[in-house]
Amino acid sequence: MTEEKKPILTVRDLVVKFRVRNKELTAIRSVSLNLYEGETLAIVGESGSGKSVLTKTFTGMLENNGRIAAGSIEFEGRELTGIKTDKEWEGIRGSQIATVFQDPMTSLNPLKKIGFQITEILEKHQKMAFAQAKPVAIELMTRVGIKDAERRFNDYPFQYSGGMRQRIVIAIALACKPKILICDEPTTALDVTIQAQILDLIRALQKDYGFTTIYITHDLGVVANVADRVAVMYAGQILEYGTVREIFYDPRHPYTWALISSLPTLAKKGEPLYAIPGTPPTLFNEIKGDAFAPRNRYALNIDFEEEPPFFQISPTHFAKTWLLDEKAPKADPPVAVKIMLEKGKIHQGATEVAK
Amino acid sequence: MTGYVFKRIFQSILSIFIVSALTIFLVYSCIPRQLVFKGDQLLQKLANQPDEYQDYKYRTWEKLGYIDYVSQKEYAQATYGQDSPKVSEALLEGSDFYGKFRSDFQAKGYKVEIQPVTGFLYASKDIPLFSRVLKWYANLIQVDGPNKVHDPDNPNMKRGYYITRDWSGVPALACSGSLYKYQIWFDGKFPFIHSHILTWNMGVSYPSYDGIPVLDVIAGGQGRSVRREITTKVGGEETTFYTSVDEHSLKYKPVLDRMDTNKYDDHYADGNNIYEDPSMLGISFRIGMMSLLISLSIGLTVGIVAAMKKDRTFDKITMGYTVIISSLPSLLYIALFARFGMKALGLPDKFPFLGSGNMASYVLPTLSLALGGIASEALWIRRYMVDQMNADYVKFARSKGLSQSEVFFKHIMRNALIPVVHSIPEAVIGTLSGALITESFYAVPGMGKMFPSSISDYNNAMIIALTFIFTAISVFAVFLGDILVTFVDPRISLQAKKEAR
Repeated sequence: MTEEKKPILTVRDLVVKFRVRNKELTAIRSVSLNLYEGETLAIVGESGSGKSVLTKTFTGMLENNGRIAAGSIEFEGRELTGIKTDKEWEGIRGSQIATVFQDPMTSLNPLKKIGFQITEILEKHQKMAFAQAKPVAIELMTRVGIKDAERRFNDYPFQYSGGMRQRIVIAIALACKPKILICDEPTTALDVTIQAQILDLIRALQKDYGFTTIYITHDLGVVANVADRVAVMYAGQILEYGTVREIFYDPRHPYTWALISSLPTLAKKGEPLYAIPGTPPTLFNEIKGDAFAPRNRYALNIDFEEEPPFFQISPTHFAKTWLLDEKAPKADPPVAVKIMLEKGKIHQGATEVAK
Repeated sequence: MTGYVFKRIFQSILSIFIVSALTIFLVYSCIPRQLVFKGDQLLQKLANQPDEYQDYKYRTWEKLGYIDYVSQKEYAQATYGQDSPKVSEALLEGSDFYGKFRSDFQAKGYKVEIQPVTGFLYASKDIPLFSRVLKWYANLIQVDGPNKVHDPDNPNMKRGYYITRDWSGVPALACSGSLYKYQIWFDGKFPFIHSHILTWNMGVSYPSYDGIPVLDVIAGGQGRSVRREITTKVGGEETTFYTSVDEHSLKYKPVLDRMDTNKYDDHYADGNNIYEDPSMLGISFRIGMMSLLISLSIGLTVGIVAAMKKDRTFDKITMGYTVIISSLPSLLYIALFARFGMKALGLPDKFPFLGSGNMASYVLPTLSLALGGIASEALWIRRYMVDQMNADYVKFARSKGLSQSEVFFKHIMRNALIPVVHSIPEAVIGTLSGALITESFYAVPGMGKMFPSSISDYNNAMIIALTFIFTAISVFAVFLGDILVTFVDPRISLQAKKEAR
């Protein structure tokens, strides 16, 4: 990764707070992130870690009780945190940054024709008339793999299967050739064979259209399949980020270790599947030290006292754990991670030989 | 679709049948038959004439379908002929007709009893419950035609249809030999084409509205009759006379008097009057429809705006209004509103002050009814809207870059209106059953009071007829709503389920 990539979206020290039952909840606790043009970034983390909230701030789709308390989001030189009105957001949503949501069964208006739901966005952003938009929409439908698109243009969502609906959702998201596509768990609600088809479709479309993709997922299998880079989120923070190879074959943060250890593919037959003990901390209170420390069997005393900074491992790989400090004792990663490390070495060797 | 519609129609008819049959069953079995006389003034006058008292009671029961009743005199007349001298002989003391009467009727299973004063015999027999129920249905639809009337005094009556003009000169199909003269005619009243070929018969009202067919009570005019000048040809000569009779309702009258022969060429001289005021159904429908239109237009608008401004002041005011209206007893806010309308706007707070001809009479009842209607329409549409606003597709539509108002009007509103559309036919047809509290508060002569009062009067025929009508209209209203929804919701198509193999 020596070539210099241009960031398309830069997040700096973002803090997002929600007002819930008269209490303040901090959902994003100072997140910084670069998104480079054309790459695929996967944000992984368990439920409630703030992955969705983070991407919602990119399109101004935070719920009414949420607000950006601090930090900046810069998209192509434009400061997004300064946008106050929906009117301004309308110029970004859909046309610049599009989102594909989790459940295709409910993402489409059940009472509007598929065709209408695609042409609507073309009419809005590209100022096309319906007659102009229709062939474009049919073209899009064909592109996302709807057979006989001309005829199915006038069908209603209930006449489509789940996988086909997700294809339509993707077609709608890409209708205005956005620069960034946010896929918020796009395959969670689909069965495995359809999942693969949808992921392949997004990848193929990315090649054609050249957009940048953010995947939000808790499925590490999906991550390994599609991502260039991975950011691991926990309790409103990014704990570790790096290329997909670095995260899978050379993870450094104990939380990432725990995630990899709980992969069913690495489990041994007859042994119970690994599960991370405890629950994530409540975000209503201020968190002292490392948020993962109470569930972390590698936790050092300092983890409970002081928040760790990011330690650089490689130009692309950073992790937020005291274990990487010079003074820290050397931790012995779990077995599953060791397996991955071994695999990683073999891979590296293979690629080096190939070079 | 057609298959489904037929299936639904069949199911509707079946359910109406079951409900009304149960009602008839209950009315005839659970209400002691003695109670039907509760409101009968005439019977109380007969209290010190035991024979007449008994005779009147039994005749009434016979009329109401409880029993078969034969008095000794009737039987004698039937045996010997109407005017035979043997009839009075048969009633003389010691006549062997007594023995004949007793044995004949006892053989047929009748109970034979003796009148206390005259000592004449009478026989009575209960009509079984089932045949009472069946009789009601058998008489429900009357078919009229040229062979309907058989009058022994008029054996050579012409029989057949002919084209004629009614008193206003409009062509009509008339008939001789039928019960009604006009079989098909046209006028300015909905549904413009009317017919007597098939007519509904739901019995005769008793003891309230005594002797009037039930349907005429609720659907016939009220108030004073309207006299008008009519010029028509009688016996080939132009004749002008005043009458309040509605010529379209003319029925066969066996015995004509002079007045009749002056006005009519034929035996059809028995007609209903035209009245000043509309029928109970008509008044309830007018008030109900006007208030429904107001409720829908204001209630839906308010509810939609409240949903758009959820949790803001307008929404809070709207919700406050609906909570107050739905928690207060309706009589209270109607009374307050009536007082306000009378004092501040000078509107009549009782319907009969200005009568049905004056629009001002309708204002307060209509608005009072709409107060509740607006509250419930606003509440429901707001609820449906908020429901839709939280739907995933709305989130996706917004992430497409549609503006708040585009999302609202193109996506949310139509989806939220579907349940409302479904309820509209029910609301429209429901107005026919009247509004009890509002109507009685403003003394509106509408349908609202009919059901409760017919129950307290023990007006069996009315109870049964109203149950039948209300059941029928609500069943068909739901059906109509289902059909209407298919036009607005593409997901719903009316199809009969195929038999599972």
